[in-house]
Amino acid sequence: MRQHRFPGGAHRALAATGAAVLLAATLAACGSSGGSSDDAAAAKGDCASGATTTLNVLRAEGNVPSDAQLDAYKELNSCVDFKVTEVPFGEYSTKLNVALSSSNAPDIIGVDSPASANVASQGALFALDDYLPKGYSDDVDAADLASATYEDKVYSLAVQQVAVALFFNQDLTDAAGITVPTELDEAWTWDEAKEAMVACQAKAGTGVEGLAASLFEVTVSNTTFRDQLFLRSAGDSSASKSSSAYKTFAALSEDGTSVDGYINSPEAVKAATFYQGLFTGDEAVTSTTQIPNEFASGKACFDLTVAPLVGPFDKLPFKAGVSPSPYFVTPIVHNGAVNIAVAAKSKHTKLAATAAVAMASGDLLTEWANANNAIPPTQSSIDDSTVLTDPGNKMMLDELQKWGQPRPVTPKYGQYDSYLATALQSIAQGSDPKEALDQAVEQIDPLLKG
Amino acid sequence: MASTTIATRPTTTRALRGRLRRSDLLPAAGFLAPFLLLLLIFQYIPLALLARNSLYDYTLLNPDAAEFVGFDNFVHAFTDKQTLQSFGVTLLFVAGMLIVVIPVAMALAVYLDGRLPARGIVRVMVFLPVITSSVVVTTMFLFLLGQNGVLNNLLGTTGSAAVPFLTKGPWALASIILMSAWQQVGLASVLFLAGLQAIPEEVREAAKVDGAGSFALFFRITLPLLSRSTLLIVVLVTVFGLQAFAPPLLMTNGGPDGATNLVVYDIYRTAFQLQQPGFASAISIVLLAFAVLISLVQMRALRTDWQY
Repeated sequence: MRQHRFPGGAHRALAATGAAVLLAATLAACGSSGGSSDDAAAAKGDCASGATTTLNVLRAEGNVPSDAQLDAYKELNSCVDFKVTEVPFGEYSTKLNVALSSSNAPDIIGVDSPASANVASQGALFALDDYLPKGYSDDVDAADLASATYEDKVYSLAVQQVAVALFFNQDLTDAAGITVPTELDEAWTWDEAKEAMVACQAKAGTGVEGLAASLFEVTVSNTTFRDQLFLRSAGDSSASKSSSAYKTFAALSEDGTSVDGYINSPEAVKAATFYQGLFTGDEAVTSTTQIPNEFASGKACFDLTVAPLVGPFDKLPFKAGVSPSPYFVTPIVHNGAVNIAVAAKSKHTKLAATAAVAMASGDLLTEWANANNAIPPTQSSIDDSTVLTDPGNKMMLDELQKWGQPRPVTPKYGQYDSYLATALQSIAQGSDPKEALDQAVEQIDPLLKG
Repeated sequence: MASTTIATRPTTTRALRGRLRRSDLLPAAGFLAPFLLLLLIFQYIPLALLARNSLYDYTLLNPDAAEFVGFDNFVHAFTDKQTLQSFGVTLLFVAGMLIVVIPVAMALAVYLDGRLPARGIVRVMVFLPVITSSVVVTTMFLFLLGQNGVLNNLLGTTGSAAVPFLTKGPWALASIILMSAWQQVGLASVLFLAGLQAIPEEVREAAKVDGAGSFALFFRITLPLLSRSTLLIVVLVTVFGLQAFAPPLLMTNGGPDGATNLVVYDIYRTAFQLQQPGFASAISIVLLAFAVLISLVQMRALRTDWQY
C-alpha cells in the first residue's frame, strides 16, 4: 500500500509561494481590468456601510466637473467620494499632459472637447462606449459627439454647449442710431457689423471700443474657438470639395494631413486682412489687450463672446441684447466646451466611467444645466431645460443647431491650435496676413503628416 | 662603497602640500558630500536625462511610446525657423541688457562709492528690484506698458497717440530689455561697488601725483582695474538673459510675430503646448552649449594678466 507523505519543509514553502503568486496574479488581473469587484459594486451603490472609494478629480478653475455635479452624484451613490485638484485655466493643459502619464493619474478629468482626440490618440483616455445610456448617440448633439470621438469610440462627454454670439450694449447702439438684428436669418455680414462698430465707437467717444477685446487667450485652445471663425466663415460649405472656398470652410484636409490651401487660401487671407483691420488702422474697433469686464462695465459697444461670460442681462448696468455671430460667406459657430473624461491610467476606471456618464446625462445633467444656466448637449435635457428663456442661451442654441461645427478634428489639435492662434495674434498685431498664415501652415503640416 | 638612500620625511614645500592634501581629503569630502549629492540629484542627473530625452521623439501624454530618433531633434533645432529666430532674439536681448546694464551700473557704483548724499537710500532703491520676484516685476510693467496701461493713458491726456510698447516688434523687445535691465542693474552696481572699493587707494594717489585728471583716472586706472568685476557682471547678465522666461510668458506670449520669443519660452512652448518634449530637450542642450561657449569667449576676451 502506498503511503502518502505530507509535504516536507521545502514543499510547504513551495506551496505557500505558489499560493501567494496565484493570489497576486488574481489581484493584478482584477486591478488591470480597471478596478476590483468592489468598484463594480460601488458603481451600483452597493458598498459596505461607511466604506467609500475616493476618486481623484483634476479640473481647471471654475470648470466641470463642478462641485455641484460631484455632490449631486455623491447623493445618488454614497459609495463614492471625490478629491478635487484645481489648476488655473491657463496652466491646465500643461498640468493635464503631465498628470495623465504619471503613475498617480487622476480618475476623472475635464478635457476641452477638440483636445479629446489628441489625448485619446495617445492612449491617455478610457473609452466610455460601454457605459453610455441607450440612445445616447442619437440624443446628444452630433457636433459634440464628433469632437469627443476618436476611431469610433467616445472618450469624453459634453455637459454643456456654448457658442459665440454678438452681444451688444443697446443703450450705446440706440444712441448711435443702429438697429442690431436679433434673428438668425437677419445676421449681419462682417462688413455690416464693422460699420456698426465704427459708428457706435465714434458716437460713444473716448474710452469705449466698438468691439470688446477678446477674453480668449492665445495660450489655451480658445483663440481659435472665436477668431478662427473669421477665416472659416469666408469659405463656402456648399462649394465643390476641391474648391478653395470649400477648403477654407473645412480648415483641414479630409484625411487630416494638411492645412495648406485650407487656412492660407485666398479667401482665408482676405478674411485675415479684414480681421487685422479690426485691430489696426484708422477704423480699428478693438485691441489685443484684455480689459476685464470691458463689456459689462459699458466700455464696449459689442462683444463677440459666449453667454456665460456676459452673464444674465438683468445684472448688467445697461440694456443689453444679443445678435447672431456675423459672417463673410457662410455662417458658422464652433461648438465645444470642456468635457468630462476618465483617465486610462485611473485605478478605478469602471467607477469613474459610471460617475462621469451619470453626471453627463439624464436627470443629473438636466438639474445641473438648469441650476447653472447652461445649455445641455442632449435633446432630452434641452426639452426639460429652463435656461432657454435667457436670450443669450436661446441665441447660442439656435446658432449651434443651425450653424454649429466642431473645430477641426485631429489628434494634433493642440499643436494646430497653438500655431494658428499665434498666427492670428501676429496678424492682429500687424503682421502680413499671408506670411503669418503661410508660416502657420509650414509649422502645422509636418506635424499632421508625422 | 655602496650608497644608501634613506627615506626621509618630505621636506620640500611641494611634498608637504601633497601630504597635507591627502590628510585633509576625508574631512573635505565629508563637508562637500551633501552639496555634491544635491548637485548630482538636482543638476547632473536631470542633465543626463535631458540629454537622453533629446534623442527620442515622444509626448508627455504617452512617454512609454518614445521613439529613438538619434540626432534628428538636433538637426531640427538647427533648421527650424522658429528655433533659430528664438536664438537670434535671445542674443539681441542679451546684447541689449549688456549695453544698458554695464554703463548704468558703473555710473551708480561710482555714485555710491563717493561721498554724495543719500547713498544709503539710493543703494536700497537700486537693489530692491533685484530681490523682487520676476513675476511681480513683469506684472507691474504689463500694467504700465499695456495698450491701455498707465503710460498710454498719460500720453492720451497730452493728446499723443498710444505707443505700441508690447504690440509692435522693436518696441516689444526694447520694452522687455529695459524692464529686465531695470531689475538687474542693482546687482551689477553692487558688484561694481565692491570692485571699486577693492582698488588700493595708493594706485589712485600715485596716478594723481603723476598728473592724472578725473577723466584719465577713471578710464586709465579705475576701469582697467575693474575688469574682473566687469567680467563677472558680463557673465552673470549674459546667463540671466539666456534664461529669461517671465517676460514672454506673462507679457507677450513670445510675440508680436516672434519678436520676444526668447529661447527658454520657446523650449517651454515646444515641450508643453506643442507636445514635443524630445525636441525641446534638444533645444535645451543646444542652449547649454551656447551659454558655455559665450561664457568662455567672454572670459577669454576680458581676462587679466595682472594682480594687485
